[in-house]
Amino acid sequence: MWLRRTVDPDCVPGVAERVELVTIGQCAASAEPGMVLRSSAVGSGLVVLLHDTPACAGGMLYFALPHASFDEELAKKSPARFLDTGLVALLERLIAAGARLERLRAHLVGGADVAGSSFGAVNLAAAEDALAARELPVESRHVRGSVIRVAQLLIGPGVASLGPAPGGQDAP
Amino acid sequence: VIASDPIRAAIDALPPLPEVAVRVVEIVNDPDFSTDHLVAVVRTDPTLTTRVLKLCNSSLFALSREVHTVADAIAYLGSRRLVKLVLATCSMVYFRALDGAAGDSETLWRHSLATGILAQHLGERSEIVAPGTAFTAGILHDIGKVVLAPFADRSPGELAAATAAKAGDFLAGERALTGFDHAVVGGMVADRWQLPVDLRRAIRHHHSAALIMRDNPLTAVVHVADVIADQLGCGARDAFAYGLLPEATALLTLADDDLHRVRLDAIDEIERSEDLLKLE
Repeated sequence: MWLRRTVDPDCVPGVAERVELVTIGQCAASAEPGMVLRSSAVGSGLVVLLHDTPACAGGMLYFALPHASFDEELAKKSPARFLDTGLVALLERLIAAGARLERLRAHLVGGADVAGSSFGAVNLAAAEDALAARELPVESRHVRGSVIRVAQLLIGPGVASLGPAPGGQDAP
Repeated sequence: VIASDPIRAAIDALPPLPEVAVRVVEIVNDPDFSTDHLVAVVRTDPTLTTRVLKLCNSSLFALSREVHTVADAIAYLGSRRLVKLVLATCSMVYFRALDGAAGDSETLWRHSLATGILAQHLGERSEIVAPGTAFTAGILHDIGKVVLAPFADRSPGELAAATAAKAGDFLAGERALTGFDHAVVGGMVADRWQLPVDLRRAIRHHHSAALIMRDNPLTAVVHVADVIADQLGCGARDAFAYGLLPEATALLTLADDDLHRVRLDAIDEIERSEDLLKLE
């Protein structure tokens, strides 16, 4: 289990109304204590969560494909569609929010498997490589398997929580 | 196991697909269909026309002016989007009717919409299946689950337990509980609705072996769209239960990059379709 603590933001007073949804192809960062970043349902795509606890800053990238070279024009308009350009965009936002690169810790969610397709595994490997290249340690992984997940990050206490996709399968 | 009669009775009790939807499906089966013909058909159903115009004028499309006629809707939305709106509107009622232990009508509707959108993009990409037909097949491919839900989901966890008892084979789990699986029941519904033959086969065989798909590219389109919808997080309760058959992508002459392009192209549309989930 990758969780350090399980928190349901809906159960945290004053938090439920401060949820920002991050859908596939988007990234978001915040330094607002109590803010929750919540992904839409994640299948074989991958969510990268980054958090700098002392700075009370965190962010989320939900990318669709690993490499912007697939469509560089699209990457200019929507960098978060791709891991490489999306990670740069997320780091820029986090640093602007007060985070420091050397304090960032990562969590990975998604990369589910479909027999006959390596899509999930390729996304996961690319994310591991990109984070390693920047010396960003991965603290936890909730990846692979045949599960639809939702990633959540509560800004402030440095708590990342994971919940089931609404109406979908529970995370193991 | 449920006796087959209640299942057949449930199929018979399912309201028929509106005549206008059946005719729209027939029209879009022709890649060179006439928009005048489409307008004429949609206008034959005043209730549907009212609902479609209401949707056109909702924040979903954020049009710069109010749309008052079906012809206007085509001018502002394009015939392809109008067709999707008509078929989604006609299909939505079946998924809305799911309740009780099934409890996942929104999840199934989201999956069906995503599969329809992905099937349309796959149709465009492969150039061997009419995109409108592909959308229709995608949105209706799991209609059998709507019929089976009251029998397979009588209590929470029952279907999951039956699936687990069958080594994770979801279709076998459905059969163990009801004697049928949703693909077969969907095919029976499609037969009853007298949908075009290729649509009936796509609904019935979308999980079937590659040899069956080979006879009908539409079946392969629905199969691939179904799997990609799961990958994009739009899975229903049987998400990830089925592998991607390489024969299906080969039949459609789609390489990995083509599938990536379909994923990227469909993302925005799927996100926008979330608004359809909220509409009454």
